[in-house]
Amino acid sequence: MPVNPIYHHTEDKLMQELQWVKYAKEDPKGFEPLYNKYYEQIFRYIYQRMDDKDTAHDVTSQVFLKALNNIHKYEYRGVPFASWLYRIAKSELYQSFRDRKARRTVNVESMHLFEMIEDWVEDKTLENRKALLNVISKLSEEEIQMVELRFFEKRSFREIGDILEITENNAKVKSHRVIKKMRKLFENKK
Amino acid sequence: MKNVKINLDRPPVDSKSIQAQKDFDGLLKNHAMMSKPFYKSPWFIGATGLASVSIIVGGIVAFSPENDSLTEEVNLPTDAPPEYIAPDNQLIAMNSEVDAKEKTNELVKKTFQFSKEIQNTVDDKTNTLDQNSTNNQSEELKSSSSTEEIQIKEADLSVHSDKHQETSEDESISALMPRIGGKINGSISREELFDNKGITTESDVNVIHFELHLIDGLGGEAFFEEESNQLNEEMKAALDKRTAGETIYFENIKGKTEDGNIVRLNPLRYVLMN
Repeated sequence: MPVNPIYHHTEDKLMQELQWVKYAKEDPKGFEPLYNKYYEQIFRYIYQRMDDKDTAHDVTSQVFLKALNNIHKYEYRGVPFASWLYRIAKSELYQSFRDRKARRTVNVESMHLFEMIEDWVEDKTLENRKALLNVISKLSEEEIQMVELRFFEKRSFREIGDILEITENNAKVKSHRVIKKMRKLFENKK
Repeated sequence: MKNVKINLDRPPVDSKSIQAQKDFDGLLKNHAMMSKPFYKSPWFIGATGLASVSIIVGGIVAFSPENDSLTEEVNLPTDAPPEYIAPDNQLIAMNSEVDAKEKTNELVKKTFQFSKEIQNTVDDKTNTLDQNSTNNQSEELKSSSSTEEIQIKEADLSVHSDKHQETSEDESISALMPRIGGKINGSISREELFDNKGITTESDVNVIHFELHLIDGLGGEAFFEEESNQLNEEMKAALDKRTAGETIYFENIKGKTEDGNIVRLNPLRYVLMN
């Protein structure tokens, strides 16, 4: 499965990010390069899980504000700065659901659904697609998160591990379990 | 998951519209509003708190009465309570035989020096001295003659001490010390206190003035003054009320030499035996 390469950084890029973080710790204005670099990524992550675009922008702003306020607590662990932002985004997202009493949204593209189905069945009928949507609605929050990150957003296991604060191997194991469960549910539906 | 909404093929958001929503200045403003002022920062609160506590503790230690009394105790030259020690007291109470020898030696020298100063009317600590300073010329002549005599005595003493160093010094020193019933400090019975001899010395110095200080168990004090060497009736009545084990002090004891010079003698401290 092809993986979105945007998350992965070379050593030089990681060092440059670290330098920006250092500037931001000294002066809030030094946070601008990080803000410009990651605003879109974080917005898309949030909007993927939300229904309302304006709310997604508000939550994104909130994520960056929280990051800037707590930049002095940031510790470099050899992974991109984005992993820290994603963790804040995840926390702010669920906080937003609680505050607004909004429903969790799963945005699915047909193309991604067909990619999943083609491994299990040969015909990519609309009926099968509907069955798969039903299967997704039966999953737990943790499992939906895994499906989104791995199959809809095409993230690597390493990135998933960084976002969910688990190891890469654990991310792999959990991903396989979810697929296994989905396939079982899908076959039962059929 | 029950409360989940699934959107299929929602129209994607283009990058431009996302970038248009970026507002870094707004973020900075919000950050500035949310940032704690310096006086709310933990380091500032900690530092000020520590400084305040230090000042309070320092103030308490510096101004506590215990500290004052400690200082006084350190400077105490005698066993007498601090409030009974005259600032100009040049004599030293003797608590032991060993100290007595050294200190009384100094005492004798100081007494002679004191006598000289009287003649020069430099030191005017008593009424007698004041009188001396206003005496007529004949008295001054008399005083000057007595000065010469004292100097001779001093010279005699030094010659004497050269010949019979330890024994003669001890004798001259102990002869100047006041006593009641032959006792210099220590325990004393009421009978010894109330005998007719009063405060005496073994030298030619006659006691002409003394003060009696009594301190009860609660720290209260009584003060009596007498212009002779005998306890007066008031003093005896006060002493009658005292119980065994209590300490009594005789301070500001003044004696008169045969030459008419006034000298200050050692204070006395006794513990009542009965």
